[in-house]
Amino acid sequence: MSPGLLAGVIAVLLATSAGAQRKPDGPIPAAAVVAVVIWLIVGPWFVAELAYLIAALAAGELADALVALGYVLATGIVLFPWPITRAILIPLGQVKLAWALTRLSFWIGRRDLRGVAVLAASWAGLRRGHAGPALDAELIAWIERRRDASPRGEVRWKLGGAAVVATGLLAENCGDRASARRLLDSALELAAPTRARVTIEAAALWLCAEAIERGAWRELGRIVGKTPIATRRLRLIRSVAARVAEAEVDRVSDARLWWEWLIAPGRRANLELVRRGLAAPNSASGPTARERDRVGSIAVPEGADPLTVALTLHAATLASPPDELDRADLTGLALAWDRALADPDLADRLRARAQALGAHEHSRGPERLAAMVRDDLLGLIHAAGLELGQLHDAGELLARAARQLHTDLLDGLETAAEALEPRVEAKRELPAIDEWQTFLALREQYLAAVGLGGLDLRRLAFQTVHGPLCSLAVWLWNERSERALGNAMFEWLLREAIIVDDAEAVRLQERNVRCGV
Amino acid sequence: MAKQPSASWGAGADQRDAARERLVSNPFYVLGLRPDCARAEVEREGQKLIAMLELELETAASYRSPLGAHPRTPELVREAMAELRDPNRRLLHELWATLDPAPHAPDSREPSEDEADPAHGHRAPFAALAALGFGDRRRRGGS
Repeated sequence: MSPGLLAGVIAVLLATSAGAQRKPDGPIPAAAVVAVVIWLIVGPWFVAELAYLIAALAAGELADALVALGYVLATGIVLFPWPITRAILIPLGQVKLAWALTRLSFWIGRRDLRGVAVLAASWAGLRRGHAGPALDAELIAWIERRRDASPRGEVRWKLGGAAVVATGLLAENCGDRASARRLLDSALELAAPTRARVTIEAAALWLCAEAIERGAWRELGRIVGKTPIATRRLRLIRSVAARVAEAEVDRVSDARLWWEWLIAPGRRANLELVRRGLAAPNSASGPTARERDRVGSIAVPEGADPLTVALTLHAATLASPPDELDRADLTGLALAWDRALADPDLADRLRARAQALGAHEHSRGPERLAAMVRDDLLGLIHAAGLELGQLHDAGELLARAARQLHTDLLDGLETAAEALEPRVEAKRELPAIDEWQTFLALREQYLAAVGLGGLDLRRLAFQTVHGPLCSLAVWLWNERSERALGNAMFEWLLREAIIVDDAEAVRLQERNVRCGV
Repeated sequence: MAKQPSASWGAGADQRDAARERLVSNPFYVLGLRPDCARAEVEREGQKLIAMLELELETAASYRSPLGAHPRTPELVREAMAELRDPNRRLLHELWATLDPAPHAPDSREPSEDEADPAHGHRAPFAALAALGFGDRRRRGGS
């Protein structure tokens, strides 16, 4: 077969598969059929040329070997586009080449070829941005144009998991790590047919790596648990995290760590991970890190006044890694501050010092100190991944902060929901990825608000967001061919409706979820 | 008009870092003075430290807070002096500096391989994004 004929065959297959993507789910996606056809045509040719190359090399016929090598490379690119992209083009930061070659990855991107190609481009862009100067705006716009381009013909969903992950990686490239984290995390929630396996693996790996960079080892278990696929590498990460976070030390032996490292891809890259896992204690018999920290660091001087006690605890808490703080630590700290701030000696001391220094009248009370302490406590609670609602017995200072935050967050939630509803009613469209980000932002606000209190507060907040978000999801699903996003929103609304026990909403969302993608 | 959600919630890591920073860079710790010192003492100690830092004397190169040892710079010393000239600010700094800087608190410098606490070394963050194929943002040129 001549190279021209090969290119013609691929072009025809590409054209036929492009329009056939994302059609109502059949048992075999069109791109998968194309992948098999390519393998049936080009596969034997590749093997024959490889055999010819070996024979030519053995016979010492260099000219023939070079011709055969050319054919092997040409057919190899057609047969293994994703491994080549992943191993060479992405690390080299070749954005456009990575995109173009991934368009040939019919098997890997059998349900979302366009999305996986955009993901490859975005990933390559991330590597290019990190290796040299920041990725230029033109290239970012180039990737975004390909992400937002409408596919030809009627499709059930346009934007899938791959495009969401690609957008997350672009956000990371622009230095917006919070958006990157939110987008990549959200990709794990999309329905199975709308997310390619490589997409989910990339998202999960990035989330794990980012959590490790923050030292948040305990988060890894949650991320791997939430990931809807199991890969050897993710299993290794989960085992290392369990050892390091001392969650299940008895169940993860050194031998198991080595075995999982041996069978996982990227052994060299994974070596540091295994080293961390092996350095962690492998038995639960000794004190845990938490216990060691408590024993070692918090030594309150005997007979100390309440301010010194509170400051000592404050310093010890700030010195501890946030993921090792628990409810008891922060409750103890909040109560210590309550005692310190209510201590009449503190008020006397402040008055006397203010007078001696010539400070303003408004500086003479402990209010400014209380405000600073309150902000510190809220920051510590949030950094520790706790919810204010879990610290209901943590004293007056936090109770007042919770009441204030409760009002602020509910008001903010109401404002955001009210802004969304008229836009949906007026059908003022935003790009699909922006609609998704609107949903994620509102959901984050909702979760921040409900983290403050009990079920009553959650019911109240759910009533606020249910209508606008349901309208948005219905609009995306019914009229905009964005069923992947609409379905994920229905799924989340259903989970929340069950938690707040809203029977009517449960019935509605069950019907919506059953519509699938 | 409804209020915006408090900035205090939603940026936990930043808030915690700010709290740490406030304790670490308390002017009294930076100048190595106790909260009941006189104003003249602040100026005298500040000038002395700046002169020592300009001469690159080892004894002035670091200071202690309850969170450990930290590098001292002339800018930090000048800022500390400025903070303590304002009586309203000084009043608050005095309260936060009530705690003695721990004489044996751990050093906040990045520990070397040999110095690393064996009980916690394995938990220290590392460049996992680079290791797992997403590049290293710290290597970005020009930033």
